[in-house]
Amino acid sequence: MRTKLNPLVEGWQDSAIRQTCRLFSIGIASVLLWTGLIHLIQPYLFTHAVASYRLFPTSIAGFISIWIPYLQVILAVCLATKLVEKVALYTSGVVFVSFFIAQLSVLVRGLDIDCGCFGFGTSKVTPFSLCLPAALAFVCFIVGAQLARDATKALR
Amino acid sequence: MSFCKELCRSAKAFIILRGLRCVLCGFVSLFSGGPIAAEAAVSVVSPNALRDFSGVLPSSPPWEEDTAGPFCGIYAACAALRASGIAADPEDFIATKYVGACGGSTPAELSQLLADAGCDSTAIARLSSFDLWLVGQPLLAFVRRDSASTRFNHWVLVVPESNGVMTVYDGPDEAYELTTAEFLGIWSGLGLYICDGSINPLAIIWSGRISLLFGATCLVLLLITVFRRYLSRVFTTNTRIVSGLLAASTILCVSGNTVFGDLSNHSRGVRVASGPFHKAIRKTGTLYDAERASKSSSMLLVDARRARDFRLGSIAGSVNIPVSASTWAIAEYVQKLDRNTPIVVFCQSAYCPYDDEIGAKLESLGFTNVTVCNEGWLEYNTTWSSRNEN
Repeated sequence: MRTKLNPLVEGWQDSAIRQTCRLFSIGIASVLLWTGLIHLIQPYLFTHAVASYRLFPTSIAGFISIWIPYLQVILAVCLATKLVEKVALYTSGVVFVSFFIAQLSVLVRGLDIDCGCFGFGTSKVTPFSLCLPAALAFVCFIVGAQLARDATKALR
Repeated sequence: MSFCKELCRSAKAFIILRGLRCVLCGFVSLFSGGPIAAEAAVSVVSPNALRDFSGVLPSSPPWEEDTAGPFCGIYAACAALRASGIAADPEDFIATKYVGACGGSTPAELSQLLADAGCDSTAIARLSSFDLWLVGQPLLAFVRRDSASTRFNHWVLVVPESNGVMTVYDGPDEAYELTTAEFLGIWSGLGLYICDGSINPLAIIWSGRISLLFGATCLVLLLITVFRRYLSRVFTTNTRIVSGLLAASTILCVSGNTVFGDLSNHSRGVRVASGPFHKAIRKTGTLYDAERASKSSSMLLVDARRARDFRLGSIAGSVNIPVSASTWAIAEYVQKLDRNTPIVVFCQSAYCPYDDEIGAKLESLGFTNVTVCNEGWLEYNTTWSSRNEN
């Protein structure tokens, strides 16, 4: 049997959840902005990194690698300014899931390549490097779901 | 009966031909000293024979047999010193102090070299083409040796020119020019600037970056403030919001790449950046078949072995592009050659990887019809011998 909380406690709890979600949003925006800017200023280095995953033909890898950083920056700006925040969170989640799948495929195929996550000289693709996109995608979907629940509650 | 006569006649002809060949080989080996020369006589030596391509390919290839190797950093640092008005000879700096490993110098070792020569330097990572143009000074850049390398393993001196190209000083070779996209395609973003007493390059770079970031942030916030109400009316559904995000990122991508990339040469940059990961080059039949096909068509046969091996003997009419030749030297060599020319690359044997490497380099230069032989020089000789014995 679920006990009903005091409205004051419930309000405080909602506020705490909202603040935590905001903090997570800002954190995700920071990661997206940082990685986006690194890849954006060195477009062909990122092309090299994407092509090294050997998932796409080079022409498609070229297109993806010059466009993804700008999508990351736009998503970061949306999250930071709370503009279409929920959709931005879900889209970011999809972006992180795609990074996760790409890295997982590298591990499965046994390729020895650089992760390319934070520019030149960063770590190789390892199970540890796989954790970052997985965790970020998880947070994106959890915070997005929480925002959707808040929106539904507000409508009621 | 007539069949037997035919057989005898063929056998006689074969014996006479074989005898002639032996006499010829012996004669040649007598005068040129040894079995290698005899083998060469069999295989028709043709150093840089340019049968159908004499007007298109230069007679003297632009590559050196010995490249700078692990001393590339020393050569680049000395070129940087000379650009700053300090006389420097690479031979004076060849020491383990400056080249700690067989792979070459580290940024710290090159900084030490420059310090010993009387120059302060700053190593900076994550540089962009925007920073290069902003500073405008020569940069010791850490790059991939050429478009077929997967690893960053080479130092060059790069000078941004006013006409939008980069002049690259690479080892002891002549300087060559690359488009910005091509250079960015091989560059790691790591480099060393010489601080010659004027403003520190790091200060210029950060002031430029902060100004750019500030301008871009102001513009984005202004646009969001102005259009916020309009956006909330237009983007009512999730599909519209996602389409809006994609469209905005695409517009930003085009404008951003004019600042940090080289949109006019974008496809060349992508080709160079993804050069080592091109799909496997098509394999063709035997070298014997390729040789026969090259006689009746405008096909170019490329021998990817080292120059000294090529000089010992190769297919008549083939040209030598040694595996050690850099992409840029090859680009200079084949600049007049039609990009649709059928090219067949071969090397020592079926298991030799040089042909794949040269094939990848040629493809990264835009050649559309490059194939690699299933067999090499070794198998060709075996086939040649067995066919003649039969």
